[in-house]
Amino acid sequence: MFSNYLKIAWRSLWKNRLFSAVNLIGLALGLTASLLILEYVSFERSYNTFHPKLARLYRILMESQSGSTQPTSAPGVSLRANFPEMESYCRIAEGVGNGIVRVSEKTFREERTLYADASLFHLFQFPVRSGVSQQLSKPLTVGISVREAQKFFGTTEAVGRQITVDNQFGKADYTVALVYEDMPENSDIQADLVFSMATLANPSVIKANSWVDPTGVGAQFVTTYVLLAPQADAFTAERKFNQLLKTLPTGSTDRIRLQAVQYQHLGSSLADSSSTFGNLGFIYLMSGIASLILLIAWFNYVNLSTALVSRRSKEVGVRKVIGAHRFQIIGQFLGESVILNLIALFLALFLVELLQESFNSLIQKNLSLSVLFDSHYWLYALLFFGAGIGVSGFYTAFGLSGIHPLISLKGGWLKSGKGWLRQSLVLFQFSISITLIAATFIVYHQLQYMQRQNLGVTLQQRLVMQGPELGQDSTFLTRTAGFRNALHQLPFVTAFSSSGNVPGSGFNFSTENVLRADQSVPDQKTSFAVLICDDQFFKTYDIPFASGRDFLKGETEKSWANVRTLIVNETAAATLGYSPTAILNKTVMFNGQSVEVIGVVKDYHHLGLQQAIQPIVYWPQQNTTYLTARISTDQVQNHLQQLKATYERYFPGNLFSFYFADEHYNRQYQTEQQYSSLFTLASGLSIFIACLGLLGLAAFSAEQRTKEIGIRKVLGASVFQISALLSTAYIKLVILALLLSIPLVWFTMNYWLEQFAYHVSMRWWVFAEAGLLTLSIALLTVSYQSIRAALTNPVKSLKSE
Amino acid sequence: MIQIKNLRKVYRTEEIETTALDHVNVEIADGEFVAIMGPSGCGKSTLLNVLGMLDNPSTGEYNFWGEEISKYSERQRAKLRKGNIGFVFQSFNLIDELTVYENVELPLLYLGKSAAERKELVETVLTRMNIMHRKDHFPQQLSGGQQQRVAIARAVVAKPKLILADEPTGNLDSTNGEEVMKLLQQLNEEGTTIIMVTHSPYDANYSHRIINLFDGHVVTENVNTKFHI
Repeated sequence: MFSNYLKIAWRSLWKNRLFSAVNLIGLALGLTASLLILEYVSFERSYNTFHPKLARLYRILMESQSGSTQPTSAPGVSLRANFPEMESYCRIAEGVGNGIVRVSEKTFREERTLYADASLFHLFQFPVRSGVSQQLSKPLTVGISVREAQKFFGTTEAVGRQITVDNQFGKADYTVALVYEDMPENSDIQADLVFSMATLANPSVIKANSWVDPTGVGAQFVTTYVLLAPQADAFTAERKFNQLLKTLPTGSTDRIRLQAVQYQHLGSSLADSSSTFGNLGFIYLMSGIASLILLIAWFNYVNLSTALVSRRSKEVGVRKVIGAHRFQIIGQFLGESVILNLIALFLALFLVELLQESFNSLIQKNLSLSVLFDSHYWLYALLFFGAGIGVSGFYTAFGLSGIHPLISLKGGWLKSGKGWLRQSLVLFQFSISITLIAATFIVYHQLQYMQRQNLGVTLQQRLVMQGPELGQDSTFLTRTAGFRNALHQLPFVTAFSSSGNVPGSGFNFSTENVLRADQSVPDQKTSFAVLICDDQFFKTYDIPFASGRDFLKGETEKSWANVRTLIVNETAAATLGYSPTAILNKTVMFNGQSVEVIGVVKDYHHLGLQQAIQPIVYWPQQNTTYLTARISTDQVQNHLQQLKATYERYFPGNLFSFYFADEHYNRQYQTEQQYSSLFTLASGLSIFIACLGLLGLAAFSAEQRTKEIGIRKVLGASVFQISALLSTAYIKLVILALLLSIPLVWFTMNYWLEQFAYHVSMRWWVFAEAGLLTLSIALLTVSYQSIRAALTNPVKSLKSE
Repeated sequence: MIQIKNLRKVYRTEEIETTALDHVNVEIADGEFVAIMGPSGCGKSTLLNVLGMLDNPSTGEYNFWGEEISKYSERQRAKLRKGNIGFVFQSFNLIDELTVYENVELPLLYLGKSAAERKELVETVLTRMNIMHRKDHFPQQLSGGQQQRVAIARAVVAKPKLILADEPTGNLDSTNGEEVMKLLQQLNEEGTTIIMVTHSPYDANYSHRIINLFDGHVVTENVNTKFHI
């Protein structure tokens, strides 16, 4: 019996080739999109799940009164001493150790470094290849990944060997204490080098950088993780921690929040930066889009299968007359559904392989099908897939098998009024398609708006070089001055500045301690961004002044404690309660230091347009973290060669790395660009699959109305009139779909746009664009079948009845 | 074999009620060949459908082999139908996606016969219907006469006691039509009861008895004197 089902399923699919192709292509594309998206979702969901003690691991965040949260170092130490139920803790400082590593004569720039307590390997249990993790509790020890060991020494036998690290704390030799397996890609903790945290507690290593001492209260660059005892309850622990915190001499009004590590990767509720963290909203969006595309494909299946019922109904009637049981008929049609879906699945797997690389570059991950098994998501997907096959197959199977054999033999179901279902499904498909198309337009417009907005700062032709990290010795200042002079000699360099940060990258730090002279207590809800820069910064970036003057060279050469002048932006002046002119020459307190405001620069977008312009304080100092040169863009390669040669002459041993400020600035819109690409793909795919279904339905409709077309033609109807007759029903559906999608798009996209401090407003013509585009595509799709039917010889049409 | 008493079949729509069969009384003995005749719309096919248990009567009694089945559900009727009744239709009603062999094999599959038994029965009946050489062809590759021979083969392969034929020659030319009628006659001679609806007096002459219907009533019921023309 089963082979009979298979045979008839295959032959039926072949016989109805157009419909089968529509179904197969739609399902295969829907499944391809779903599988690719599922890889991403599964990968994001799998983050950190490999840690054996995951259920007991928490990240400590300090929540200020304003509701913002940030990691901190202090509580770990204090709480461990006061709260024995806390089994262990680990402090991790990401990025502060980045710098140059020298091994023998080889030099490497290392960007994935951590300072961490030795307990890292106890809490998180990254497998250790060789060495003992406890050794990492000593100062100037380092753990290195297998990959780095191979890179540095050409072998993984590296324990006991030495590397020289030159970073912001100067040059120091570290002994390799252990070699660990490369951290998995789905880990929020990522490091190739783990320096011992004890190193930072050593004054001879950190020298004047006392801010980095992790035992200091509230060191923001340190994240503390805790491992609770097996019986400890997180909520109770959090309450007890806070009670204890109040008794500590920190003076802080912040409260401790414990965030479960198992939820931190997508934990949008307690926002805090980590470059590896994912976006839960994006995951939901991706999952939603995948499901909708697959639904559209399954609706095609239901639509076309019910349309084909008239062809299959005679067969069902015959089978019933000669003895088939209802369940045998159901089994047969369900089997056909399974076969079709399985063929589509195989096609989809092939397509996934084909498209994997492009998809990976779109989402900037290294995914493959094997990722699906990294989380239990594949199980949900399988259930969803099974349910889809089941529901779409069962609907047809139950419908067909339930028809009375006498009705079936006469081509039954068609006349029993299932048209409303087909229309509803088409309506749904087109509502989704129009929604996605309109969303695509809106995302595109917003992206264009952000990229074309006048930022108030000029970024074109600004080349930003990474400042030197090696050789910060007694000759460094002389060499920096030499470098500056040498650049001025180059005819293509028209301005040059050194600063602690640059537009598009961020600030040096933020503080709430910027007060008017008559203000004694900081308003904890206002934070000022601080940017360290020299006297050429505003000129180099063409940032105009609203009032006052620029820094003088001498002002930038004073030691930090002797700085007496600063510049603010218009927002900062307003935040302090002054107009740009009124604030001039006023004294303000900056972290307890009395300084005079000498100038106010016009507000400009230092960061992307997602964020509102912050109050910014510019602190005069010679800081060489970033070196910006304004250059002419002709003969760029030649200019770069000259810059590189000059840089290496003055800063030997340092790697010359650079970027163009405008390109770097636009990287802030990477997420929006991903959204844009994703929506473009999703809307293209959904409209394509929906139109495939429409093509099938139009063909079916034309076939069903053959006799009517013949009669109308005999009575004098023109080709246009016949085509219009056949197309009108679908066009009405598309218009209705447009009306249905408007509130959905309006609500969701307004919500999305509100996430941007600066955004486009939603205009009616977005819907007109989306509707017209969809209508044109739908019209093109159905008109082929309609015109073909209208051109058929009427005698033939009448005969076929 | 079959006894029908006061049988009525009424079709209702929202607006009209049509009486297709009105107090019909018919008896058919085991081994008979009965032809049902009458003008279009007189209720011939409705009577055949009721006799073949494809439809229930609205009122009246239907006794099949001593079993009162007029109130049977579709499931009960399907069970009784399976293996006991074979159907031959005017439009053949072969499944286009199956070959000749597979079409004939289908009733045996639903009866749960073994593969070996199926093979033997199908090949025997195909040989008998002189269509064995076309066993791997699809219905659309056959002539009308050949298709009807396949339909008859399918109707008889499970060796039913009763064959119901609804205008079996209606779509055939005279040569093929006669061939089909001879096959039915032969089956009847071998003991199968046959009830046939036909418009053709010529075909009706193959039967033992002719029942004439008009507007849902049995108007005449004659023994066929021209039997075995």
